[in-house]
Amino acid sequence: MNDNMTLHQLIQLYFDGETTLAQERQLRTMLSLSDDRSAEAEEARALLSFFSASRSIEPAQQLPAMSHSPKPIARKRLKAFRNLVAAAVAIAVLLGGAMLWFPSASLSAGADSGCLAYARVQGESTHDPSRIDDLIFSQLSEMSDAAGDVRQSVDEELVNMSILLNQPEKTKGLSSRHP
Amino acid sequence: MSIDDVPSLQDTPDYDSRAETADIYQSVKALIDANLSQRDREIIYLRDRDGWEFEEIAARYNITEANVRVILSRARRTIRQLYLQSPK
Repeated sequence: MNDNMTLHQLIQLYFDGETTLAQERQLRTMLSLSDDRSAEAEEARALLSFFSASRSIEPAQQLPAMSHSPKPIARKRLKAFRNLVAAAVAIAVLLGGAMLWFPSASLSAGADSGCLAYARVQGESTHDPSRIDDLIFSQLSEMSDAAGDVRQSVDEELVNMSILLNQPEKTKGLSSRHP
Repeated sequence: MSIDDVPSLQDTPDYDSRAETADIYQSVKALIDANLSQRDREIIYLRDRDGWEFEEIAARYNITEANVRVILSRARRTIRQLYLQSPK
């Protein structure tokens, strides 16, 4: 995506049906920050504000098929996040259990004795403490990424809400067209 | 300070803003409901409200992604045109 794309170029792309979801988020943000009062900007602002409001007001509007089908990508992301949390909790419990069962030994000594820790993550089982370390770090990293995605979604919703709540002047001109 | 000195909700700027937003919401909703076919309406909601990808919408309606873009463009332009034609 071209970061230098102007507001009017993005609006044109939007009405051509050629914007990506990321560009549409960028457009919402640019419109909320811009003082541009051109008809083009106001119409785009009205349409995008409408759908932002629609998300808040009627999250499951009268589209029967949709009410049982949340956005697939968000659903997959949430499922992955849940799996990762479950995996991380399982690792923590197993490591904690191993340390309780073998209180006198350390993890490094465990590499010699060969039976101090055990982890099973997404089908992979191991007793090797260094491998378990790797698995923990990789799972935590993936959790961090997934949490970042969730945080980004929340941020986008907050931006949408700010468009609605903080711009009375921008919406005034449009509402006057529809008495 | 008595209770009478406290401004009512209706006196706050936010209340006006929300009322105007609600007006816009109802106006645009009416335009969409009255001027778009059910399929086009669902597609624009799936994209602009729910954030579906083109390919997800295309798969749902068994049409091409190019078709989805055309339908979206037409629907958005229709709503914009209705705004432009609305009495000021």
